Amino acid sequence: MKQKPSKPFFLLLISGILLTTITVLACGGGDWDDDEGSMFTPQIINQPKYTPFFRTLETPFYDGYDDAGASVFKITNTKEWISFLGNSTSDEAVNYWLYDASLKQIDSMIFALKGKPYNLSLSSKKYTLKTVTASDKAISFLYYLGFAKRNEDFVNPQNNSWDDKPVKVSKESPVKQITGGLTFYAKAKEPFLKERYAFQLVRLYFFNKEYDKACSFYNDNLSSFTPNSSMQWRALGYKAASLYKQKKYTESNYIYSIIYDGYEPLKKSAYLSFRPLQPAEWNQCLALTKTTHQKEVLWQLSGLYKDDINAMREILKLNPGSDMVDLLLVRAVNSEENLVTEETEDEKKDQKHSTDKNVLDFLNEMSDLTTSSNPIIWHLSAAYVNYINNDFITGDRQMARAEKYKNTNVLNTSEYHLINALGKVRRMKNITESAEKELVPDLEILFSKETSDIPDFRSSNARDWIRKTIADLYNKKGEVEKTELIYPGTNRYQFNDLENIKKMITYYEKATPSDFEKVFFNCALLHKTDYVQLLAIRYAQEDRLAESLAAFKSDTGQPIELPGNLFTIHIKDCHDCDHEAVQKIKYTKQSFVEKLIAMEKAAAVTPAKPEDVSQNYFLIANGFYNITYFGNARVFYDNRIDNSIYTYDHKTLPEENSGMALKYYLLALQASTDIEFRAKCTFMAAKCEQNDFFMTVKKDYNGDFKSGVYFLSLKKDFSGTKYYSEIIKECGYFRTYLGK
Amino acid sequence: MNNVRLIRSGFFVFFVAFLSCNKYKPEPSFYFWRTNASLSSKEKETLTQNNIHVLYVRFFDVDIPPGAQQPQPLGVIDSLELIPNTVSVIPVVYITNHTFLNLRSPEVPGLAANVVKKVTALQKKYKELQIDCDWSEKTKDAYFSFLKEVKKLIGNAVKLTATIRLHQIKYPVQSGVPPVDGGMLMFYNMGNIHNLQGPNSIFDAGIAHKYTPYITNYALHLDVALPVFKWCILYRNKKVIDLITKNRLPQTNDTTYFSVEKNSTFKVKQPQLIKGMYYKTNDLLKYEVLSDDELLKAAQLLKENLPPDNRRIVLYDLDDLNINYYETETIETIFSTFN
Repeated sequence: MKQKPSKPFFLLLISGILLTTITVLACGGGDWDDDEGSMFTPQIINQPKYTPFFRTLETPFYDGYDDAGASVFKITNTKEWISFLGNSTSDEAVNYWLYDASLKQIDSMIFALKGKPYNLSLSSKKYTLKTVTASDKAISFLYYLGFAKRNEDFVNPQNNSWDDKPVKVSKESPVKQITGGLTFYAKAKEPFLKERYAFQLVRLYFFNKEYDKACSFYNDNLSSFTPNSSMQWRALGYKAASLYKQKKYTESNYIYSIIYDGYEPLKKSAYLSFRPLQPAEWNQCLALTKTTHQKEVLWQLSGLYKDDINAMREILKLNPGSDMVDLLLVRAVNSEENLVTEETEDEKKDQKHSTDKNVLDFLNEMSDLTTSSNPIIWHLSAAYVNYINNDFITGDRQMARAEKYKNTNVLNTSEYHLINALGKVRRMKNITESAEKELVPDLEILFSKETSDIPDFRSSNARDWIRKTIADLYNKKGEVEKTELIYPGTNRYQFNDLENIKKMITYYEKATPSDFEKVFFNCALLHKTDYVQLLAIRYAQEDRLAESLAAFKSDTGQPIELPGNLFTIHIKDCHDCDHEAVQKIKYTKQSFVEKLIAMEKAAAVTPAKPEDVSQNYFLIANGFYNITYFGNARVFYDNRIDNSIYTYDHKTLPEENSGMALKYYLLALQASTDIEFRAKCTFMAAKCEQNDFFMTVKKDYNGDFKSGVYFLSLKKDFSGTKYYSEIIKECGYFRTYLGK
Repeated sequence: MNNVRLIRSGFFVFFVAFLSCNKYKPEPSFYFWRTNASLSSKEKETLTQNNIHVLYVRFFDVDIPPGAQQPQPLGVIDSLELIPNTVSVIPVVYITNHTFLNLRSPEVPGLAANVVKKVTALQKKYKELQIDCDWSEKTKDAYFSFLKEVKKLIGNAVKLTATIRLHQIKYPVQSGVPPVDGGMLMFYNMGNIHNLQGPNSIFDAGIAHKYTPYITNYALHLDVALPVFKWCILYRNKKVIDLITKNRLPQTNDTTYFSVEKNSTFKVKQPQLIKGMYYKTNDLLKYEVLSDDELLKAAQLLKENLPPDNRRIVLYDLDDLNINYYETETIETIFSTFN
């Protein structure tokens, strides 16, 4: 018997409202995580009951949509009925009768208990209530169930089902159910049953839109409810919902605030049903409260919807040591930190930010005070927002205050060092050895495995931000190694220069790194082997095969098999066809280089038959062609450092250059006397020329390939060959060139 | 023949299409995103005028709602039979990323079976099924295996497509490329709604240019969707509080509550509840919609960056509230841009 949220739950309109919200909030960078970019852990308030209410943009609750209420009700319900039945039956049996048994089976069980003819199913026999000592209680239980189950379709229609049958509409009219319910209620002698019938009636009145009656029935029969029982809280929820439906928001808000504060299973539902009010109505709402605590709760709820700073001020006016402000505080900080998490490069450079003055003034005031129940969260919050705002003097003062509380628990310690490091890095204009030293104590903690394993601690964004910011500073200084170690990829094209790759390899072999370097070596994102492999690839692309082979041999990574025959070539390239074709010999990156070396040796043997030489050169050319962006083995140049396998970068990377293939096609051409073979070599040279043409034209070039020398040579010297007619058949470019 | 575009057109199709020089024809279409399928006469007229023969219709959403343990269909479309029979309907199912965050891998085939069964129950035959999900790195595996299961169930005769957002285009390695027969590029929602002073978040040519180089390289054939919707972004203390769409949009020309700050930004003069929304004094409302010119510019930019191919050009979404805003000719021109 699941309680529906008392207000139409807005998430059900997911396409109408939330879809657009999700879509937009997710735009640009993507919606990787709900706490994307955040460096401030709201859990530092150490009040787990507020976790669902931490700031979130995607879902109504930080811990997801899940409303634990329904399952709590189920457990409580079962427990209470077992106790009513004299603890003489099992959980499973009561659950079966409560949630699975059909009306027919309930009737049959009643007949069975009354000694009349009955027809029980196997499950009903298994979970028989004949074992219950007081059979009159078992019969009362079943009568109640019969009544309650008849209400279910009416109060809890299952609109959303995978079932393709039409939604079942209850035949029972609610009016008839209410009349019957009133009779049951009047006759019930056991307070336990009376309370349950009262709950059913409040709920029936609500769903029958008799809101006045729902309220008056609840008020008039309050004595039937055990104070603080689940039935009482749930019935109270329907009273509040009835007031809401009647637009009596001051009263509904007041009741919702009591439920929010007093009954955990309905906390989320009460929050969603709360409605922010305009001042006049709000004051009336506050006037309904009976204690200061109730006022604090109302202000907290209001602050969750609007003007959190004002709400915090009001709560603190009522109770300067109140911990009800803590939740609002971390929400405000998580909202404010967007300024740094969404900072553009220009904003970073200008160091100009406009944090909400209201927030900043309030945090500064609070950090100056000594009345707070949890001082460190105020000092850390204030310092963090000041650092975001580039006010380092104020921030440092607040961090000094935070220091004495920093070891109170592991989250406080970690957040302290995170904000400290952030403050230090954020003010850096350049990086020096002394600045490195000063950062070490904070970074050692922030970048340690222990810290990254702390549940809930939002350290990864801070680590990224710090890595990137420091790496940019090293990049400006031209320190290739540190830039790359700290944030690989900062200077993307620096590894087109082989010397820089070698520098990285040497750097990883460094015997005595500084403490600062140790921090980053210990959590390095790339390793020596990655650079060794890149070096091997680059050597191969430059036809420095012996050096390439040596590097591949010292690469400790797993060998990767290359798809497709690397020594094949077609008029019209087709990677998929090459990958699907049966391959007799499979090559790895290393064995491919070994094969190239063998072929180069064979081509250089003297004296040699010209056709052997040209054939070898041709195969070598195919190999070089296939390891470019245009070839069938892009995997060859795939690496962890400069991964361009899926993208095209307009001739900035070696793999986009077909020059080495061209060189060998021309050598093959030169060495051969066979006119058909020569035609083939010339066409392949034309393909290399074409690839280079499209790689070097301006990005917005919209025209056709402008042929250089090879199409002309084909036309002039090879028009009589068989291969020439094959080219015409398959190559549209060439046909266009010939004007056909 | 536009061969430069072809050369950049991606990993798998590149060489197959290399030398082709066919004339391509785009196909106009709309998304229909309401829960009740009754179309107004203006909406029907728009379909006829633009020679629209296919309509992408949201059938239902899938999510794990509060209190539920399993994903459920939500907001199932009503009165599907009211869609004019001149158009063939392509079912679209929106699935929240939250669903895949909470789905265990043994549950994936069950969800796929439920989705296909539900779609088929609503419409017996369809040539294409589209899944709309803003998947993330965390949900990639579950989502992709879901797509594979769906494909197994619908077979080769039915095309399976998935919506692709710009960030997924830009980061194909992290996001992965979904295992589907084609993608629908959503060429909108590219800006930062948090930036009140910033350009239109629905579309801005400057921002669009940051994404366009990646479009040409994408490993899936792409249909494209362009925005004809509008919304208001509500800011409080410079922060985005809500996005207001369709029937919730306030009358920003009501001078009792709003004053004009600049062109499309309005300031709240006094606190007020309007259509269920709470507006506080000094709240700012940024009203965003693409002008006819901007919409055409978006189409042009997209066209320039797409390899010529047969593809659908789809406007989001078919609704009087959207199409009344544009000149009839503008809608026609958008579609013809891709010719």
